[in-house]
Order: sequence, then C-alpha cells, then structure tokens
Amino acid sequence: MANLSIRNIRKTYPNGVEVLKGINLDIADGEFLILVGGSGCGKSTLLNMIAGLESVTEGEIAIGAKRVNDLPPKDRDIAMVFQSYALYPSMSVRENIAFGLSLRKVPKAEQEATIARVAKLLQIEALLDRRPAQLSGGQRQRVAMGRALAREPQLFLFDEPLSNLDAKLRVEMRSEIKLLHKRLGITTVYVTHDQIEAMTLGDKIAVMKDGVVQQFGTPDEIYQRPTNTFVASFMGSPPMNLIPATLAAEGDRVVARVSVGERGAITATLPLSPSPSALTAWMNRKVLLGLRPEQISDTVRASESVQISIPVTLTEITGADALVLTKIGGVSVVCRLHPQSVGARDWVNVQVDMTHAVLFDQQSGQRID
Amino acid sequence: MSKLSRACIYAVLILAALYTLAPLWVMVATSLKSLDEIREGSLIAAPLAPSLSSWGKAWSSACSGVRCEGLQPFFWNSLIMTIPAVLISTFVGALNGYVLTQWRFRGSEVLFTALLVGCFIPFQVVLLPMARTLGAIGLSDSVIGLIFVHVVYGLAFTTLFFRNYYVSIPADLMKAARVDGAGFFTIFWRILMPISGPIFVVCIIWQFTQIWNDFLFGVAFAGSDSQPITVALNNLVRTSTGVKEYNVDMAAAIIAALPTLFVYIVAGKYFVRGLTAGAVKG
Repeated sequence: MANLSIRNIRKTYPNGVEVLKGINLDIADGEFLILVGGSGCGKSTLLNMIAGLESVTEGEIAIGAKRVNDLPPKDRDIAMVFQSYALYPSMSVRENIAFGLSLRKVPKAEQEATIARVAKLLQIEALLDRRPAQLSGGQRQRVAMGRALAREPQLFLFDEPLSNLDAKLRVEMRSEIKLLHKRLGITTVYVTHDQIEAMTLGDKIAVMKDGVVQQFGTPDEIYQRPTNTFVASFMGSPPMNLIPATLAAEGDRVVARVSVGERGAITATLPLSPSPSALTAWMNRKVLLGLRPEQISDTVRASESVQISIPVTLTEITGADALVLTKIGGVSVVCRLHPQSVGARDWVNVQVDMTHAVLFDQQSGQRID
Repeated sequence: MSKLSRACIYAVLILAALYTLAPLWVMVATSLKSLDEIREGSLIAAPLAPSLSSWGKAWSSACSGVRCEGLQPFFWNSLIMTIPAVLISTFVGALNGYVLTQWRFRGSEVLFTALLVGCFIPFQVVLLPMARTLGAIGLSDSVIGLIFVHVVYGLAFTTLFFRNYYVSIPADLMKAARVDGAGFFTIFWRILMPISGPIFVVCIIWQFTQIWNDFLFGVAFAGSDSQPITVALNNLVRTSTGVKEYNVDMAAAIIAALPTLFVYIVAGKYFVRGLTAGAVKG
C-alpha cells in the first residue's frame, strides 16, 4: 500500500530526443491512475521509468515516500502486466506464477498457497499445468495478471493490457480489472491509448501529448472541463464539438453567436450560463465553443437550454442513440439524439445545453475561464 | 498433374539422387574390395567378396607419414578438439546474441556489424597473425591452441545465428523477468535457454561440420601429436609403400566423414526446423 509521487520527471535519450518534459503527478494510496495519450506521447516511457526499466534523466519518483530512482525493478515492490502478456514460453502457468516468488526465495509451501489463492481469484485453476502456447488470448491475460497479483505489490503497473484482446473480451476484462482493484485496493498505474478505458477505469487521468501532461484530474473534470482543445477532442467518443463562435454582450449576460447550416445564413444566439465573469476581454472576438454531442440533443435536461433548428447532413443510428451530423459555425458537428426522433427530415429541432459549455482560445487552444 | 509429368519428375529426382550418391557408392564398394579386384573389375561394380580388412587397416595400422597406427589416434585428436571447440563457440555465441539483442548498449550495432564482417574473412588471411598470437600466448602446436583458433573463428557465425534468433524475442519478456527479479544470467538460463533448442542444434551442426572438416588450421597450427583426422587422412593417402591401396584410402576417407554424417542423421530434421524457426510465440 503506497502513494506514488512523480516530480519534474524528464527523459532525454542519448541521441538528444526529449520524450518527457517535466512530468508532475501525485496519486494517493489505493488510487487508480490512467496515463492516456496517442502513440509517442511518452506514456509507456513514463511507466517503464516507474518500473525501473528505464533510467530517469532528471526528477524524482517516489513510491510510498521512498525515492526509487536508483532502485532496480525487483526492489521497488511493483508488479507489471504487459500488452504482449510476456509469459515465459517454456514454463507452465504454475511455473510462470511461481517464477518471481522462487527468485525472492519464498518458501515452497507459501508459493503453493499463493498460486492457489491467485488461481482461485482469477479462475485459472484448470489452466495451471498448461503452457502459454496452449492458452487463448483472454486466458493468457488472466495468467499475466495472476503472475502480477502473486507478488502482492505496493504498486501495480499495466502497460496497455487489453489492446490485444477482441472487443467483447476487452470489455469483460475491463470490468474485471476494475472489480479487482476495488477488492484489493492496490495503487495502480495503467497506460492506455483508449479513452473509454481511461474514463471507465481511472480515479485520476493524466492526458499526455508530446511528453507533457495536458491535464491531470478526475474523469469527470477531464470530460466536463478539458483544459485545452487537445484534451477536448481526445477524450470522449465522438469527441467534443469545437464550434467557432463570436462572444457578445446582450443585456447583462454573455452570449455566443454561431452560424447554423451550410451557408451560415441563420445565426443562433446561445446564452452562456452561468456567464463567466472574466470574459470582458473576449467580447466581440472569435472563440471556440466546446459542446459534447449529448449537449446538443432533443432530450431536455438542463433548464437553461436553448432550442435551435439544425440541418441534418447524415444520421448514424447506434442503437441507443442516433448521431446526427450537422453544420454549425462552418464546421461539422455531431449531436446525440433519440433514435426515434430522427426521421428522414432535413431539419430537426434540438436543445442546446449551455450549462456545461466550455470556451477555448482559438489561437492557443487553451480553455477560457 | 498427368501421369507422364509425374513420371518425368520422379525420373529427374532419381537421376539426381543417383548422381549424388554415386561417389559414396564407389567409396563404399571400393573399400570392401580386395586390391586385386579393384585392379581387374570396374569402378562401380559391387564387391564379389566383401571384406572389412581394409577398414581395419585404415583404422589401426595404415601408415601416415612415419607413424603406422592408422587413423585411430587422429580420430581421437579430432574429437577432443572438435567437441570443446563446438561447445565453447556455441555457448559464447549464445551469450553474445543475448547481449546484442536484449541488453543493447551504445555501439552494440557497430560491434555486431564488425562481427558480421568476421564471417567473410577467408581462412588464409588469419593464418600468419594467428600463428604469431598462438606463439605469443604459448599455445602453438597444441590441441588447446587449435580449439582457441576454432572458437575465435567460429564466434562470428555462432553470434550471427543466435542474434538473429533472439532478435525476435519480445522485449516485454525481458522486462517481465526483470520485474520478477531475474538478473542477467537468470534470464539467460531460465528463460532464453529453454526456448533456444532449435538454434542450438543448427549452431552445433554447423560448427561441428566446420571444425571437424577443417584442414587448413589443422595443418598450420597442430603439432605432430595433435593433428586432426583431416590432416592424417591426407598424409595417409599420400604415404604409399609401393602399391597404392585404394581400398584403405577409401575406408579411411569414410571413417573421417562418419561423425559429420552421424550428426546430420541424428539432428538433421532439427537443422531445417531451426533454420526456418524465428518467432517465439508467448
């Protein structure tokens, strides 16, 4: 049981490439941290550095208040699950789980007990004498987790563990990992490029890009109040709509004016609610209005919603809802509607929920507060 | 496929097999004939009264140079030279391959390229420098010196074999082992060695054939007591007291070739399997 603290971590390779540019993250004991980002953002490098598999160029990593920068992986009290599972091909499942234990000179009887406990927990008792080559992808995944669990580590590290599974199994294993974490309460760092995994599993999410943490917060904060346009469009599926809008004062409130439709002939006026106070500098200037697809919908939720009429470019029925593609502010915008309310019509009426609207600076992409 | 074309294919294959096997047949047949029969009969005719006497002579009493003990002592010379040389070069090659793929360091690629060049250096080029080196470290004219030469020369090949085999092993496997607490040699022994069977077979066959069949290093660096069988065979064939004993020469040549033949028969199917094996599926 331990907290994890990452201070000003930098990583520069000998060829001069800087892959991590000063990372600061803190998670409490028992928390589930997600490192998410596109490929090449440095998330796996950071995980390897926490594991001790890559050296730290600058900064400090502490597990349970103990600086671990110079400790080898085996002395960090961690366990790791890999994307390719990395089971030892020549060993049976039992030997795979026991390998780490026997290297740490755990008595035989205790090893047996641990294997039995882990096998029961993950329901792999029937597989103990098989070799990795005789297992399916999902079973290998379980064994890899079993091997990690056997260590009873202070810190769990997952490196894209579900990426090699098919869609159905991935969802199953996702909930299983979540349940396991709930039951065992071991501090966890989990690397993924899948934003749905990030949202569903994490207590805290660090969204990374180009070796920099773009935003670090709870899934809700990241979803509702992304700090910049990268986070806004990376998290959420379909991503947040970023609509060019002009801010204006109308009476005592601030409104965003957007053009609707292909030619932009119609202008919709959307009152910001509640009006942010520091917007005076932005009056009559172009900004990006961030609206999640479900905030442009036909199911009224907020009291402060505005009704507008939008043209339908394309409709995709997903089953639970219909994603309607339209044109607002000159860009393609996705709205989430009830599937029954979308017919073969060219225009539909939708409610825009402005309570959770976010504004971004068009130049820098940063959120305007 | 029509019957005719199938027949043609078989005809070609059988011809090719006959052509390849003909020298072996001539050797075996000749070795079993008496000298008189050889002189009178045809080269490819089967022996009328097969006798193993020339085999016995080749093994234990034929003269090579001034010694008349047959090939026997030189056979053992070759064996005590080849086995350690094969094992050492294969094992060190495995370690090299392991380091070059799983513990890359600054310049490891350059080092590998340099080793690769070693595969293309002709034997003759290293003769003189090697003779000086052996003299300097006091291993001239000894079996140990010969083993040393073969290990050094073979390393380029064995390293290449193992590097190409280990390069397909996922890096995650090494990481998992390190997190589990395994060190450099534990990973090598407990994780890599158990999956290296095919490449070991390839390497051992290759090295055994190379070292057993080597003549040049043997003739250049071996002392008169440590001569390998290839050198002794040459001496035996060239030493004649009056008559040229073709049957003894043939028997001696087959004896000299038997160990490599044996290795191929025992491990041949793994050879092909190992050459084509690559990816190690976890």
